[in-house]
Amino acid sequence: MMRSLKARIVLFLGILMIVLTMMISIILLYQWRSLILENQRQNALAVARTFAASILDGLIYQESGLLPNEGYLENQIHNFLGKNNQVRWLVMYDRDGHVAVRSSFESSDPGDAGEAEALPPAAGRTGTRIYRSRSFGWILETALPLQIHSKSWGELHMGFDLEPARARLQRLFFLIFGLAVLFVVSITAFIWFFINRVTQSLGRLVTEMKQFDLDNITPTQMKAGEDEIGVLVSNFEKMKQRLQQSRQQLLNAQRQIYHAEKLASIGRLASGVAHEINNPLHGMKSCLYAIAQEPRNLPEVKRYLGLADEALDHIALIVQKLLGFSRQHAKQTVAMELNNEIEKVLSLLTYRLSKNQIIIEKKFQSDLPLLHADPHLIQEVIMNLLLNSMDSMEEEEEGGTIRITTARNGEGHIHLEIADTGCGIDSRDLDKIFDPFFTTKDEGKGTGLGLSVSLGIIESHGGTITCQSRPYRGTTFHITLPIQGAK
Amino acid sequence: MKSRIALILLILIFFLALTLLVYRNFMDITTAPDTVFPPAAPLAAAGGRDTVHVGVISRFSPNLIYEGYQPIMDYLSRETGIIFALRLSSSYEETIAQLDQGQIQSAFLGTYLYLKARRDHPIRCILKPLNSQLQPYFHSMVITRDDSPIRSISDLAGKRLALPSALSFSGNWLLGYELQRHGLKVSDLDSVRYFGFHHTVVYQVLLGRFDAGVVKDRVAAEFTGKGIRVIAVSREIPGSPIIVRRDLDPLITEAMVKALLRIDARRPDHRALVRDWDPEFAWGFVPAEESDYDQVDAIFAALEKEPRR
Repeated sequence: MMRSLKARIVLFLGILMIVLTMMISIILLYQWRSLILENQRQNALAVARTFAASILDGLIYQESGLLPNEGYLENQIHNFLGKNNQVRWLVMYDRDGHVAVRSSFESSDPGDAGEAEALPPAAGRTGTRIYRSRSFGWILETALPLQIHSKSWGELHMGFDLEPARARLQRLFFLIFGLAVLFVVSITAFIWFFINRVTQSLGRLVTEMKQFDLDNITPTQMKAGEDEIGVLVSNFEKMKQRLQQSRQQLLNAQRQIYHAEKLASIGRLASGVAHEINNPLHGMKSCLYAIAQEPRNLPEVKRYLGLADEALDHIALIVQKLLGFSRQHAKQTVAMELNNEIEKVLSLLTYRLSKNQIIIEKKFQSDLPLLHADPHLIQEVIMNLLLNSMDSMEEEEEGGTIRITTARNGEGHIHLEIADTGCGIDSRDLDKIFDPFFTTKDEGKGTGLGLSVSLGIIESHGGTITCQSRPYRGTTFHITLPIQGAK
Repeated sequence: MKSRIALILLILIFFLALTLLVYRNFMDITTAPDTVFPPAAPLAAAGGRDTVHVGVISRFSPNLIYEGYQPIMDYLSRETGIIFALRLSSSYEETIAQLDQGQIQSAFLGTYLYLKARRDHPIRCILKPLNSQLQPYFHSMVITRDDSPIRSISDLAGKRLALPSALSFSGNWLLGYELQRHGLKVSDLDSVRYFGFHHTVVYQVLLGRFDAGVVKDRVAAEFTGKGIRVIAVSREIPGSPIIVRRDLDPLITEAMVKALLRIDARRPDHRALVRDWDPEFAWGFVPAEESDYDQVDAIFAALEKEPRR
């Protein structure tokens, strides 16, 4: 993409440069050609006028009888041509348009011998023209009237050699063409180099954008210059910082939601926990009553105190588990055994499971690899799913079954499946169960955040969570987690 | 990649082809004939009438005479319907001879030549020119180089003197009149030489070949501030007259006089008309009478009786 952009810019600018250079070169060339030819024309006219003035003097002297009529003009022309090698031919017409004198009769080419065929004296006051002669090559022809005001003695035509001027034009063309090519190549190379630098900077920025990781934000290595790309880099850096702040705020909010949901789960556990604590308390009360009946029976007292101590240990264990579950933690990824975390959650649910006659079927893969995840968050997910399963079977008189399966899924993932035989979810609600605040439970019994929070936790670990359910047949949640945690 | 190379090649071929086309066009320098000179005004149709030939004394080279006098001929031809044509001569005397022989019917003569010729030849003056101040006279002037120690005519003793034609007023005024007034004789000068043209006199003085010279005021004015200083000025001399043979058809004479008297140098259209005329005749004319020249004639006539040396 970047190369394409670079190539397009260079191609476009290259063509633009060529077109502009050609236009400028052509204008320059034609201007110079015009100047050179005008210079030639003026020089030729100056020479022709000078010669015409002397010829005119001669004609006037002849007319005044001061010069002989025979041979004078021929001698003048012969002498003039001997001294001016740039004049290739010369023809003089009398006032009637007849050839009076000519420089040469050698050429057999009528177009050359009688140059005036192309520029006849009848044309009168014609000044100059350029044409290509078969014998002489390129010729600049001048035509001057031998005339003073209305007094005319005829017309003088002279052919000047234009080949040297044309050779100069040819050299000029190749010089300008060479300079134009050099200019275009240099400028295109410069553009290529410049665009390369610009696109390299852009490329580095794009790479940095691609490698941008919200979990590992490091300052950009690019130097922010004062140009537009520098501004882009600087803004990118600011955007990263704002994203980091936003993400931190989001995480804080998320953590508060998780905690709130956890507290809600604890609320849902409260009656079961109370019962669990109540049983050892009753046992302790019975022990204390028995000790009070026979305080001197030391062996019995010792036994009852042992039993009370066990009951207290049991209560302490329950409270410890509950506190452990409810404590608010910062996200911390550690290597953990998934099966152990499931067991910890199940231990909090023992009373309620037995009360509702729910059977837990555990199909744990024994050699499951360690999972890199936050155990507290994973526990929260499992707790949410198990509480939902238990809620779905609460109405059932004969209880139900929850099947918990763990297995390795391919090389890098662990699969956790929690399936119940509860009331299931209506197919119309199935798409909405992960939406925040969506619940089918009675008011006060659910926050509607459980599954939404679970989805967030699993996705933050780089995993997936899906649900299959059929009304009155049960619901199965599939969770897949990467062993190495989120990338 | 291949398509890109093909595209670049195509563009290069296109520009090369364009360059070749430009080269061919650039090297083809053929041009159509261009018009440089405006067509000359056609001469008035002869209509079978005779041509009036006009002579000009050889005060300039022949082509300069044509440059300065042919426009006057064109003007007269156009204004009178009569064809006027120049006829040059190789000397002042030849012009007089042409008048005598009837080869010319009219002429531009110098004042001195006219004074000499009117005594023995059948001519009469009809017009005299105005100068740039629109006065019908001119001055002859004695000139030296700017750096010359000569301050007056009295300083000319032992100096070299350049003069225009011996048949011109300027060629006679100093030697025949002014030297005597300053107590000098021709023999007091180192040398005297006559040249064909007034401008030649100026160049000779400027080149230092002569210490002083005499020219018409008009020529001296051309070189004032360009290395020439005027040390003496003649009295007012009636301008060089236009003369006709006494037997010339009076109608032609009248037509000539009327046409030339119409010239008014103060009018911009007339200034354009006379732009190419000899400057001596480009400020208009007044009628000339024989008597206008009598006073000058009397001076020279008296001097001719006395030897110059």
